[in-house]
Amino acid sequence: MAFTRPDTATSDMINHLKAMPLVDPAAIAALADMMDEESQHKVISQLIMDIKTNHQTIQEALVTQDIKTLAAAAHRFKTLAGTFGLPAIAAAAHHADDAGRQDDQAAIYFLVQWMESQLPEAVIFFKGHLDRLSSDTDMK
Amino acid sequence: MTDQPLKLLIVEDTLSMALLYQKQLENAGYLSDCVESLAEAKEKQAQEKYDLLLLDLNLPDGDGLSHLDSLYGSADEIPALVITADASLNKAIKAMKLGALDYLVKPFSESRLLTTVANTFERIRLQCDLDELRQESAQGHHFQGFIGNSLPMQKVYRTIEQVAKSKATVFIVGHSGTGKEVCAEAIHQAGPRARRPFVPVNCAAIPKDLLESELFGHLKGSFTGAISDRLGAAKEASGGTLFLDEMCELDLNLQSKLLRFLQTGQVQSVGSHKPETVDVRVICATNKNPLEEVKEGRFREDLYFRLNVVPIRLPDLKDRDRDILDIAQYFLTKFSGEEGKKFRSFDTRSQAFLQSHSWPGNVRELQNTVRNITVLHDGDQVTLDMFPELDAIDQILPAKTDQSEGPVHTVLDATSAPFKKLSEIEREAIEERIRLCDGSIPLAAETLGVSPSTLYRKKEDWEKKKASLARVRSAG
Repeated sequence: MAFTRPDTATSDMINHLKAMPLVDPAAIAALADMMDEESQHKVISQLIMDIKTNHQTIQEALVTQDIKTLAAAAHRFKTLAGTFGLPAIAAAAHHADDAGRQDDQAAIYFLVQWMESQLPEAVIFFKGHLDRLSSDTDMK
Repeated sequence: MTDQPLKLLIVEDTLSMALLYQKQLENAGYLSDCVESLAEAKEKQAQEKYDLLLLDLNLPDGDGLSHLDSLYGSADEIPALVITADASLNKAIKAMKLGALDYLVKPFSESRLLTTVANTFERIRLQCDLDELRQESAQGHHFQGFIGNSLPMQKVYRTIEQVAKSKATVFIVGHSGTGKEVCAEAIHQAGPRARRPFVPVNCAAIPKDLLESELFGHLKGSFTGAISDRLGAAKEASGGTLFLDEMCELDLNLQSKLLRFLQTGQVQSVGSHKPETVDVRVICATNKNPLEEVKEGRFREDLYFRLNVVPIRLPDLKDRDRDILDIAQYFLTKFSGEEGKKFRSFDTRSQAFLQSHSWPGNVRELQNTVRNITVLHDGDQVTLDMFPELDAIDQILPAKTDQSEGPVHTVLDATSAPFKKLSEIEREAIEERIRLCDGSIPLAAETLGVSPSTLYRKKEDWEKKKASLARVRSAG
């Protein structure tokens, strides 16, 4: 079964997601309050690795239209993105996870596809934060 | 719980999340390790002792629920908090049923994590305190040789304390295995005679012809076989306590001699013409109804009233509420030590059985049951399948309709049921007689030559056993 285009409801959902901010600066600020720079470095480096690993899994599953893997990735991103302040990705993952329970395979496919398109930008954001942490350390 | 920092094992396959939880917990003063799979968790738990498991339910090598299931009841049991991203909470509820103390729905805030962990540790601490208090309380429930603090036993303890200081004769009544000798010794130990001898005599265990000599002594040559002087239990107990168990088994001739001894305080050895005064406190006991024995003419009425100055009725074990568990635990610890076994406790279902079984043999039956389990089985916890009595209960319950409909044939044709217990045959005979009397228990009792109360009590016991087995089966 080939997924050619999303249905109206999924399209509307994606349009709504596009209007949401990709990152929540408050989440990063909370991380900075919670831990020293070394710990932030450790956690965010691991976060970037986790996003990249999942990104690759999603890309492969989109090619093969492996819905089970896509649904599992959505389930994982629901909490990962929710925890680290990526509201648009968290919302997309949430909708895809809900679609999984209703066995709406097309909705899972297109929502995860949209989510996948946002991941590189999220990685860039967190890398930028790491760079800022490093330069702050250098200045000190 | 010690003053050392509490340590958690975080089982979470998304490492960035695990590191975040670890940092949040560290900021709150907890120590933690992170693992990404169930296999690693098992390995880590085998190496180190953790105070709490923070367990994600969705893991790459399996379901966290299966890990919980394998942990609870095992020697590696550890309190657990589960983490789930499943908004329907089905898994969290299943986890709680398997013993998890609480759950967190991902994503959760730092404050939510720390509050839940703190509440869980508080709950664990309170449970530890409660267990300690229960243990202390159970130890406090030891009164002389007795274990237990149920209301009927508190009443017994109060009577023992009050009567211990006096010299009044005590008559202890209770079914077999309720602790009549323990009670007699408790009275002796709690009173001013504690340093003097406590001499028990089982009137049913000594041949009738020898009992007088056993109690009052004899002179050398007073009868065939009297090769030397014998002091006798009454004089041996001088200054202390003489305990006459199975009192109703004394023959009438000896009853009159005992009555004279109680009235005068003097004993006369067999073969002697000279009475001697002894200072002895007498405590008697019987598992029969002494008044019934008096009515039947088997026990002297004057002796009964002379003995029954302070009566103590010992309750049956089934009427002693939580004492059953305390006593069972006491025996389990004692016999496990003696047998070199590792039993520590009874699981929930076996506790339910202990409390619902009627224990017709009372503490002695419970003691033998626990001894049987510790000898024949191994493990940390006693489970229901280790109980030897279950088979017996199965046998006394009518498994098939035709069995209950044809008891007369079953009783008469012994070869058709060669392994039936006496109690089972008795039950079938009684039920058949009640049926023949159109359900009239008083009439059935009259034709059987027993009192109606005996039949009512037996019927009640059968019903309780039946209900006990039904509960055990439904729990399984």
